[in-house]
Amino acid sequence: MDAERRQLLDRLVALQFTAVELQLYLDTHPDDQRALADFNATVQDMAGVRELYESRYGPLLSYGFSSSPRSWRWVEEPWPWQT
Amino acid sequence: MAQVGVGEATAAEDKSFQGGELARAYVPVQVYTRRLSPAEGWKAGTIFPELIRPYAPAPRRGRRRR
Repeated sequence: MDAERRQLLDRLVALQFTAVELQLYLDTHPDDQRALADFNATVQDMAGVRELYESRYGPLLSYGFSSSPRSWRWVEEPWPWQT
Repeated sequence: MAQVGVGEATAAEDKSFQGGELARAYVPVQVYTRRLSPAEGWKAGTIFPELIRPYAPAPRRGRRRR
C-alpha cells in the first residue's frame, strides 16, 4: 500500500476516533456547546476525508456510503482490512 | 461530584454488612478544557489530556472536620 493511501486512511481513522471520544463525552454532557461544535466539525472533516479516500481508492464499506458507477468496485482488492 | 450508592440500606444489606457503613464511590465530573489533535489522540488512546495516565494529582484540599 503506498504511503499516500496509508496516510489518508490514518487520517480517517484518527478522525473517527476523535468523533467516538466526543460522542462518549456528549453522552454525559449533552449541553456542552463547545464539545458539540467540535463533534460536528469532526464529523464533517471525517466525511470529507472519507469521500476523498473512496474516490481515489474505492469503497470502505460494501454498501451505504458510496456508489459503484462503472463496475462493482467492492470486489477490487485490497479490501480495507487487508491494507 | 457524582455520588454512587446513595440511599438507605435495606434490611438485608444491614444484615450482610452487620451494621457496618457501606462504601461510597465518588467520580469527578469531567470538564471539557482542551483536546489533542485527532492524530495525537489516536496515538494516546484518548483525546482528553487529563485522562492520560499517570493522572495529575488532585489539588490538595483540607480535610473535612467533624
